[in-house]
Amino acid sequence: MTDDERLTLEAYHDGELGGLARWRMERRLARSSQLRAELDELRNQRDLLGTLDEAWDEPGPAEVEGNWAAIAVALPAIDAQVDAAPVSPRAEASEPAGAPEWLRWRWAAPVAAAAAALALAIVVGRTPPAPEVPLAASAPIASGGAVRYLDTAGRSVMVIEEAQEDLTILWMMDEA
Amino acid sequence: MTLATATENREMRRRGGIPGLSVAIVLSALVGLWTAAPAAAEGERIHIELIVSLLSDSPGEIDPRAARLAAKLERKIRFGSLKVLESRDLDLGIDDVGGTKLPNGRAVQVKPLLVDSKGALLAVVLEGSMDTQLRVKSEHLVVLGPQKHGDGQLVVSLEPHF
Repeated sequence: MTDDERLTLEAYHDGELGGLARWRMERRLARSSQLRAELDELRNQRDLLGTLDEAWDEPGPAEVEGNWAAIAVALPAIDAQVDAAPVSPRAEASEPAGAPEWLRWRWAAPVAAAAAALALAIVVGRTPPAPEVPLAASAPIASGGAVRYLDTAGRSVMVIEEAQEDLTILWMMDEA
Repeated sequence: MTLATATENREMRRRGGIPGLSVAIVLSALVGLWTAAPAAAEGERIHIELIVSLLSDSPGEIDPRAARLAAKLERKIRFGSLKVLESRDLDLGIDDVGGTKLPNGRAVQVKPLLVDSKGALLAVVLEGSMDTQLRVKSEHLVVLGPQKHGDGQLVVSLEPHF
């Protein structure tokens, strides 16, 4: 599949194709099992990315406000500690002993989840598209074309249906 | 029992027999239609033009007997030459089996299963390759293959006419 074809398929998936372009794509999908497989792969990828978005529990405005309030309460104690320390005040201030445990680790979980989601998104995005594997059929086919049943004992076969040309080709890929 | 009553009784029995006879007639007609309908379908015959061709990547001639096949194939399948090895006309009724032996020893068989307004349902077995059923209209070309044979590939084409 060329880049243009993939872009068109993605636009079709996103509902961005206009009337005539969408009609053309639907005709191509009806004729090509490979194209339908590409569309399914695209849907699976989008669904996976959607679940990643839902998995990351981003803190809401109320939580953020609460966190800043807690920090403001703890600041005077931290300042006192810094003033009292004779040596390396910066080293002491980097880990305020008086800050509550939950304040230190509050952001760890979402940060870790975001990092994991980003890493997974990168991996998924870099996953090459599925190779164009022809159909391996041994079952009834609900394709809407001429072929109603096809058994090739598991061997790969390419089915070309051209309704306008009154033509159906069943082509064994391992003999080609 | 008075005479009049007896007469009335006979009249009633006579009248009672007519509906029964009508029902019998109607049932008989229905049975006749029921048995006649399949017979009409079984009487359908399909003429199938079966061509066994040898495709080759080497440049060469296109057999004029398969010019239409070549014209349709070349838009989908790449080949350099096409030679017709066998051309056979099959005249088959429903559930009749026809076919031919291929040069590689395998066989292709065709059996019409059904013919109606939507077309014909054909069962086709290309030995060593596939077992398929196709719903096609008249003059819909079906191409099955290939099977390697020598330097080329055997291809079977079927064109039904009904």
